[in-house]
Amino acid sequence: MLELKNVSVEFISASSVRAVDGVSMVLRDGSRTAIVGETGSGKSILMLSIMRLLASNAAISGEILLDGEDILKADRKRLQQIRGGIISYVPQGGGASMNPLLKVGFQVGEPLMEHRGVSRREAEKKSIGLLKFFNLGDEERLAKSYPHTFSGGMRQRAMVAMGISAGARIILADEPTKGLDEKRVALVTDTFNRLKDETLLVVTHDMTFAQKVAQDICVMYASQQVEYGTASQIIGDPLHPYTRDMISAMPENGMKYDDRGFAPSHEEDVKGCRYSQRCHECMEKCSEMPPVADVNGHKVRCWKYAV
Amino acid sequence: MLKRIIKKSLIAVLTVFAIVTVSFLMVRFMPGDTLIHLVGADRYYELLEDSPKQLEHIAELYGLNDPLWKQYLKYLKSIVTLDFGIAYSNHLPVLDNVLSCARWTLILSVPTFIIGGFLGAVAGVLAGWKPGGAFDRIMTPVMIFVNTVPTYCIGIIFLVVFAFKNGWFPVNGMTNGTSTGIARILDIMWHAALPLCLLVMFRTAGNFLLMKSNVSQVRSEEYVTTAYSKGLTEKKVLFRHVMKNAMVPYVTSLCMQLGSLLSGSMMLEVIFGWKGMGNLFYSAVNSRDYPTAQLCFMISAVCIVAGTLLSDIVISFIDPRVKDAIDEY
Repeated sequence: MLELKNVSVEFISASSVRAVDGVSMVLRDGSRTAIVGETGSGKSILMLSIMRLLASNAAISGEILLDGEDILKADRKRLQQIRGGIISYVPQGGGASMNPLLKVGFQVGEPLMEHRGVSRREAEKKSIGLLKFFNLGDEERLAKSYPHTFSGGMRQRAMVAMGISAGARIILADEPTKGLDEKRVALVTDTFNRLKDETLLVVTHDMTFAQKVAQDICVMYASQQVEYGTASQIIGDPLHPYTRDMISAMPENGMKYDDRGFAPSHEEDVKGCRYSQRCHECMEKCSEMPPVADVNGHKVRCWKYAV
Repeated sequence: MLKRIIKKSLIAVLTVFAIVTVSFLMVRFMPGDTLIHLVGADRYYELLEDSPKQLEHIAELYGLNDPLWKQYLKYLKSIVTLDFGIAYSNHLPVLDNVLSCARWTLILSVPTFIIGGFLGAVAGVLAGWKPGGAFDRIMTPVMIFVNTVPTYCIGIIFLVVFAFKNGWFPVNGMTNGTSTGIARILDIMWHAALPLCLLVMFRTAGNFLLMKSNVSQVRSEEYVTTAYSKGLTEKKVLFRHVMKNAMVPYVTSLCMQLGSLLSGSMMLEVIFGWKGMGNLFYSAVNSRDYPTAQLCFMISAVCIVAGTLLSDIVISFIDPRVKDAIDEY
């Protein structure tokens, strides 16, 4: 089980920037959670902070508990065991996500060599099987090919294969559908749905994709978690005005969209609810920061539901 | 791939051909009598007064009375037969002069290439891997200083401090001319020590800055984050993922440096009286010894073309993206 308790990330420089502000969530074994939100909401930073892969000027506070063990207190050696061995990070399948000078088969099998002591030849052989599992087609040739010969969708599926190659039981995927067309999004969705035993945490700004792969959804806005509940609660009965606006902007809901500007930047000092500037249900009370309310296990940060 | 290499080689040959042609036309179209450029101004006027017949004979020898196309064919033939004329500085065949100087230049340039290439790469990787660390903070300003200060400034300072004042090294020359066998080798090494030290310093500085920038750039690439996320040790991330990629532009630069092995460092060779190609070219230009300058210029140009061709071929073997682009081309 992976549990995030009040996790915040601050980048220390001339002026400190808080990129993630007090996020809490529980990933039970085998659960599937999606973090949704617009660009700059802190989703990817939160994911990288779980892997402790942020730049050295990032200060992470709170607790990230892996079966009770705080990852934030793990030393370098323990971190190397966790990364790829227990928790896998699947980056966006863009052109720069794989080493351009190494064959895909080697890169997919690399965690196996590192964590399971498997020889290079054996790891490359197993990587063919993994690529087959995700149905890439002509896998033996693909394993011997270089990443630049792959399409975005193929690269993304190969990255997922890489993520599970050493038997990691928690998979963190960062925007796996970014820049892909509908057909390829369907292929990537199928790839994630083939993972049956692994715990999945996926960051996306694609609500439709989140709905298809996740049981739980966490909505983030301007570095804060504004709503957290099951997928049916979030999609079927959204509580936070931001979530409601986001759902009505989905293509299947007619892409209804009010142009009320963008989320405040990290540098902007917003008093009270961060969505208040764009919220059409804004009240006087919203000038103060709302607490997180629990509505039948459905968590929401909005004054409308605060007792 | 082979087809592409052949195509690139043909382009290189054509480039060399163009250089040779430009070099031929330059002399013919320079203001004044072409003979002035071929025998030197002093000798030209001397011969014009004392023995115009000999001048006529030289003009006949170079075929200057023939039509231009005939002269050109003759010129091409002389290049193919390695007959580059007589140097009017010492009246010896130009080729003999150049070969003798090339030997001395290689004594300096080959160790510079190897030591400077190695030291620059190692120091650059160390500084680029931990930017802002103690090594980076000390080395970067020093290397920028060495790389930007003109060669002759540091050269003269070295000469004053280590040769004139302390007498640890000879002031100039390549050998004392009397020793033989191992003693001669040691003597040459002693004479080469100062210019070699300086050349290695400059080459290391340039290579350091290039490698440092490559490593700093590569370490922030997404695939390096991916490599860390697999649980790889720092050493494996550095050697397997960062260095491999950072080496691509570095190898290109080394190939280009290989192309300049024979041109020598003009300033340092002049300062240290090292009779290499740089010094030869400098004296040839100064004394208007056109045949010598022409061959030096041609060798330098051919080496650069060869270096570029070599870098194209080597990179296509290292980087599969380049290889595929070449195959598709």
